Amino acid sequence: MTQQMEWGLLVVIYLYTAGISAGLFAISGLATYLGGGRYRRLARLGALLAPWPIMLGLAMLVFDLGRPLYFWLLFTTLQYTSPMSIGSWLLTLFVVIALAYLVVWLPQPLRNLVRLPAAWSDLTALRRWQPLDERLVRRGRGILAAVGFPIALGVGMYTGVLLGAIPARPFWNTPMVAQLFLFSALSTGVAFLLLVAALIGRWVDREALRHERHLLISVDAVLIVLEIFLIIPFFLHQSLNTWSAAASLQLVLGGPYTAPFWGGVIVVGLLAPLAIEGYELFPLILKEGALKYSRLLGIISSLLVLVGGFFLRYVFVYAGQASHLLPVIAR
Amino acid sequence: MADPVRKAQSISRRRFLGLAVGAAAALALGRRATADARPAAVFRARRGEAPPVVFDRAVYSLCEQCVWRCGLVAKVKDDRVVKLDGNPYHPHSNGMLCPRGQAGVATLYDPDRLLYPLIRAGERGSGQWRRVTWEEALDYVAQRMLEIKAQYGPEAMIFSTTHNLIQTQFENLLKAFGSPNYGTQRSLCFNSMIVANLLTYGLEEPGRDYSAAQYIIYTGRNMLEAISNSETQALVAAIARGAKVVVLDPRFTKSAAKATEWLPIKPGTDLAFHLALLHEIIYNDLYDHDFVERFTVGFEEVKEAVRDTTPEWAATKTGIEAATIRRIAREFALAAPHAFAHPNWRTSNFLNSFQTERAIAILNAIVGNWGQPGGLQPAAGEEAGGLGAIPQPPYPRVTALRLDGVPWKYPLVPLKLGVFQEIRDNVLRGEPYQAHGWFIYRQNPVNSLPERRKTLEAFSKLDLIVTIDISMNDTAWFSDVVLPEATYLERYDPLTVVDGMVFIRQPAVAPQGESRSGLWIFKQLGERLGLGDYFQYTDEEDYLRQQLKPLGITLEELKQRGFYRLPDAHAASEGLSWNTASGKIELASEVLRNAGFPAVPTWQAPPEAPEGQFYLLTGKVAQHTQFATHNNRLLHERAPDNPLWMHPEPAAARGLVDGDEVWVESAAGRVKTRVHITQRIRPDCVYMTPGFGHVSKAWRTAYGAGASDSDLHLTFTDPISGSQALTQTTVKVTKA
Amino acid sequence: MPATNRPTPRWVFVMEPKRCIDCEACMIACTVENGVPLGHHRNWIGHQEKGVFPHVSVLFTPENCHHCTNPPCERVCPTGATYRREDGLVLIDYDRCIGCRYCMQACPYDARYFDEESGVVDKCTFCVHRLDAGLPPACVETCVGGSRHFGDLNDPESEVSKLLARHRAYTIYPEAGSGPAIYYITE
Repeated sequence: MTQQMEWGLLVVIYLYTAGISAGLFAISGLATYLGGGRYRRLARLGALLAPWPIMLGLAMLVFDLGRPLYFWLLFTTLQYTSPMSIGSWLLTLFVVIALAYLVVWLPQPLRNLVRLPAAWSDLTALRRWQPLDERLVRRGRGILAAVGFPIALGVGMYTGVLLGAIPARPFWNTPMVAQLFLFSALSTGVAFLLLVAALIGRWVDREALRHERHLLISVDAVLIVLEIFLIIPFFLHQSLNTWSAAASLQLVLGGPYTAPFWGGVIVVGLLAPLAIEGYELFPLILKEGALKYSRLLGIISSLLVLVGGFFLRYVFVYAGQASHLLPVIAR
Repeated sequence: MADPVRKAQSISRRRFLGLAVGAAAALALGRRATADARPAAVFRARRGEAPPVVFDRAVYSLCEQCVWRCGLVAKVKDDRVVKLDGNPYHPHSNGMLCPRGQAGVATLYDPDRLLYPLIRAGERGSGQWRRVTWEEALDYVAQRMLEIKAQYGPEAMIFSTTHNLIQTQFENLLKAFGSPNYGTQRSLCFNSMIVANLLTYGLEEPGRDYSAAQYIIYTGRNMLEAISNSETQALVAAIARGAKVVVLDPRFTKSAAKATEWLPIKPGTDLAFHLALLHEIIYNDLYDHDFVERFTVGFEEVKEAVRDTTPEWAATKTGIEAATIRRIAREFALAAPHAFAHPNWRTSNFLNSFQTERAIAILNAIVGNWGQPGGLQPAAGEEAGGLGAIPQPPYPRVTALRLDGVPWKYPLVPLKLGVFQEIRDNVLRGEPYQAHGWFIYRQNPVNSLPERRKTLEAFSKLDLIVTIDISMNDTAWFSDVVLPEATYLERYDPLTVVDGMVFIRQPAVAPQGESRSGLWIFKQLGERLGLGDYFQYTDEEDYLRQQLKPLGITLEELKQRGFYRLPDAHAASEGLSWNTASGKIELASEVLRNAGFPAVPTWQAPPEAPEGQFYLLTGKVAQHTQFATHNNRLLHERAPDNPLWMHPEPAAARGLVDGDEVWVESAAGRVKTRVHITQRIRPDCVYMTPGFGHVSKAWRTAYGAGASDSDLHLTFTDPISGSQALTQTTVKVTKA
Repeated sequence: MPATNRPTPRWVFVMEPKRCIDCEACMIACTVENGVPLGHHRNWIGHQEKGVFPHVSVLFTPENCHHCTNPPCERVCPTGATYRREDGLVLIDYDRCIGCRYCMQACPYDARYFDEESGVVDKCTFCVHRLDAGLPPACVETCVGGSRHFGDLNDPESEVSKLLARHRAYTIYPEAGSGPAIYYITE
C-alpha cells in the first residue's frame, strides 16, 4: 500500500532548525574555550541565538502532531527503543541548557533582570531574589558550554538517527545519515552565526571581525569537506547494499529529487560555499596574505550554506518517504 | 451515531506551510472542536480492555445489489444499520457477501437518496423538480395514465422493470391495466442463452454442479468478476481443488487469470470454437453413445452440420491453434460426464451468439453430463413453491400487438423475455402504434439500452414518464414524475423460494424520508387506477401473511429466523425428461426449423472490425452492478472510473502513453476517456467497464465519473432470440 | 472461526493468493465494520501482473497489518501508544497516541493511516472487538474466494496450523526483520 507524504515541510523545518541551534551552541561552546577569550563576541552571539531556532522548530513540530494538545504525553515515559522518545527528552534538556547558557551570556544590563534566590538553603534566602553573581556567570559559561556541547552534538546527530533507524525507508536506513545531519547541523549553525555576524558587523571594529571570520570560515570549510566525504560513501554503500537500498538512490539519480539534491544540496549547499570559502582562505593557506573576506561574500556564502542545509533536510525527508522496500522479483 | 461511511477529512492543516504565525498562535487558531474525537467505530484498546461487538439487533433479510439476492444479516444499532454480513443459512451467500453487498450501508445512507415524490418543474433533464406529497404524485400519475388509456388504449403505456422480488406485483399492475408492453432487461442480457436452452432442454437455465466438476469451459462468462456469490465461491473452490478451467475471452479477465488455460479468442468466433469441439468429439467417437441414443433427437443432423467445422477450420476463424482446440475437445470429452461447458449468462455479444449458445447446449448434451456429478443439472428455476397467492380477478384480454415485436416480428422469443430495445425503437418509429407513456420501476433504460441518444429521443415522443427508484439515476433525471422507493434494507418484498427454502426480505430500519415500499406504491396506484381488486392486501405485512397462510409458520417466526424450509421441498424434476416437444434433448430443433431458422448450430460469420477500428468489449467488475451502484461512495472509491484498456502496440501506433486522454468514437456517438495500456487484451480490441458517464447531476458522487458505453453501443437484434449484440459495435480511438 | 483451548493464542493470517479474486469485499467489509474513513484502508490487495500478451498472469495477495512479532511500529512509538498483546495483536491505545506518525514511517508494509478526524494513527486490529467475542475478523468472514484464513497458530488443530503444515509459505519483506504474522501459502 503506497503512502502519501505523512511528514512534510513542518518536519523539515523542525529538523533544520534543531540542527541550526545545535550548531550555534556547539560553535559558541567552542568559542568559549578557544583563543583565550578572543572569540568572546562570537560565543556571546552564538549563545544568544542558539535557543530560538529550535524552539520555533519544536513549536512547528507540536503543531504538526495529530493531537498537539497532548504533546506532554511524550514526557510521561521514556521509550528507550524510540529515537523520538529519546529525542524529545534530549531536545528538552538541550533547550533548558541553551536558555540557561543564553542567560549567562546576556550583556550585563539585561542579565541583571534575571534574578534567582540568593541561596536555596532556607526560607528567608529563598524569598530574597538577586541578580546573578559574576563568578557564577563566568563559571556557568564554562560549565554550561562543556555540558551542553555533547548534548548539542547529540541533538545534531539525533535528527539523523531519527530517520536512519527506519529499515522500512531504505533511503534513510544507513548509518551515514546521522553523521551527515550532524555535520550539516554544525555547518548551518556556523553559517547562521557568520550571517548574523556579517549583518551586524558594521557596528564592530574590523580587527575583531577578522579573526572571528577566520575561525568561522575555516570551521565551515572543514565541515563542508567532511560532509562531502560522507556523501561519497553514502552513495557507494547504498548502491552496493540491498536491492531496495540501491533502488532508492534512483530518487536522486534521475528521480523526482534529483534537481533539489544536486542543485540544492550539492552545488548550492556545498560546492559553491566551499569555493567562496576556498577563495577567501586561499591567501592564508599559501601563507602569503590575509583572509580575502568581504562582507558580501560572507553573507552570500552563509546564505548558500543555509539554503543547502534546508534542501538536505527536504530531500531526505521527502525522498525517504518515497523509498520503500521492494519485492524480490523471482517469486 | 455517525454515517457509517466516513468522508475523508480535509488535511490542509498539516499541508499548509504554517510558518506565518508562531506555534502559540497556530495552536490558538481553529483547532478541531474536540481533541478527543474518535472515529465512528474505533474502540479504546486500553491495555487489557477489549470492547464487545456493538449492535442492538440482527435482522435477516435479502440483498438487492444484484440479482443473486444473497441472504444477509443486518446489524442495527441505534436504529441505524452498522454492518451487513452474509446469512450463513442462505445458499446464495453461505455467510459471505461480495463487495457490493458489503457496501449496502452506503446505498442505504447515500446522501443522494430520493426521499420525496417529485414532479418535474422544468424541461426534462433540467434538474428542476417540485416536491409533492404522495397523494398529489399518485393522483397525478393515475390521472395521466387513465387519460392515456382512454385516449390511446392501455397498450400505449409501456411498463418496464428489471428482475426483482416484487416483479409479480409489477406484472400484476401492467396486466390489470391491460397493456401488453412489458420491457425487461433480458434481451440486453441473456436472451440468446435462455432461448437456446429452452429450445434444447426445455428449461431456461440448467444448473451446474461444481463440487465434482473436473473440467469447465467458460465462453466469456467472467465468473470471478461478474460475481454470483455462491457460484463464484464454487468456482474458486473447484480451481483450488484442481479442476481444469478453460476461459475463452479476448481479454485476460480475473477469471482468465485463475483459469488453467486462457484462450484469447477473436471476438465473435466462439461459435467456430464450439463447432470444432463438436466436430472433434463426434468424429473421434468421444461422445456418450448411450445417452445420445436414449435421450436426444437430431444427432445425425448435428453430425452432418459439423462435418467441415474442423479444428483447422476453426483456427482460421478464432486465432487459436488447431492443436489446442483438438486437445481441449479430447480433455473435455475424457473428463465427461464430470465436465461441463458453462451456459454463460450475459450472452448479448454478437448476432451469432444464439448459435454459440446452441452449440454449447449440444456440447453438454452429447457428452452426457446431464444430471451427473460435475455436469449440468436439472434446475427448478424460480417458483412459488407452495406459497399462498393473493386473490384477484382475471386479467382483461389484451388484443394489441406488443411493441417489442413478440411474436409478430420475433416468433421464437418467449413473451416473458421480450425484446427491450425494440420497444425503444418502435416508440421512435411510432410503429405499429405510438406509445405515449412509460412506467419504469427499478431500471435504468436510459443507460442500459444501447445508443443513449436514441433512448432520450424516444422519451421525447412520450407524454408521461414515471420512474420509481431509490435515487435519481439518469432515467429518473429525465422523467416527469419520480417516486421514491425505500431501499431493500427498509422494506418488505414478496417472499421468495430458493432451494426449497422460503426467505424473507424485511426492513432492518424504518424508511428514510417519505420513501415507501413497492408493494405500497403499486397498491396505492392500482387503487387510483380503479384496479384495487388486483391488490387485495392492506399492507406489506398482510401481503406476506397471505403468502404464508398455506405454510405452518407465522410472519413473526419467519422474521426472527429469516428462513423456513418447505416441508415437501419441491425438487426439480428428477430424472431424465425435458420439457420439449419430443420430451428429449433437441439437438436439432423442429421449432427452429418451422420458424425458418437453421435447426442445428450453424456457422454465422461475425462482422470484421473495419481497418483501424477495435471491437468494443464491455464486461464486469466486482465492485459495480450494471448501471446502478456507481453513486455508492464505498464502491465508487474502489472503482471510480472506467479507463479504456488497450494493447501496447496499437497504443504506441497512436502515440499514446498510459493515462492519456482519448476519443472513442462509434457510429452512435463518441466519448472522451483515459487509456489504460495493458498486456491483458487482444490488440484488435479495447475494453471499457460499462455503467459510467452518468449525466444525472443528482448523483453527486458518480456524476461525470468515467465515460458512458451507452453513448457508443449500436443496436443490433438477433431475429431468433431477440438478443442485443453489444460487442458488434466497433470504435475508432484517437488521442485527444 | 477461531477457537482455542489454550490460554494464550497466537493469532495469525494464512492467505491463499491462488484463491483471491481481488473482489475487494474484504476492503469494504473492513471499512464498514471499523468505521475507516474514505481515502484510507486497513487492508488491501496486492497486484502482481507479469508477462506479455498472450502469456500474461495476474496474482492477487490480500494484505493488512501484519501484527508483527517484532513490530517496528511499537519500537519507535515515543509515547508507548502502540503495544503488542500476548496473543500477538499489535494495538493502539488511542488515548496515548499524539499523532506524530513515526510509526507510519517505520512500518515496512505501510499498513497504517492517519485519521485526520481524531488526530491519531490507526490500522487493522485483527478485528479485536470481534476476536474477543469469539468471531473471526470481518474480512475473513466475507471473503468470497475463501483466500483469507485466520486462526490460532498455537492450536495444532486450527485451520491455519494445518495449512502451514501442509503448504510452503512465505512472508512479505522478511528482510525487515519484523516477524510478520501473515503467511502466504504456495504449493
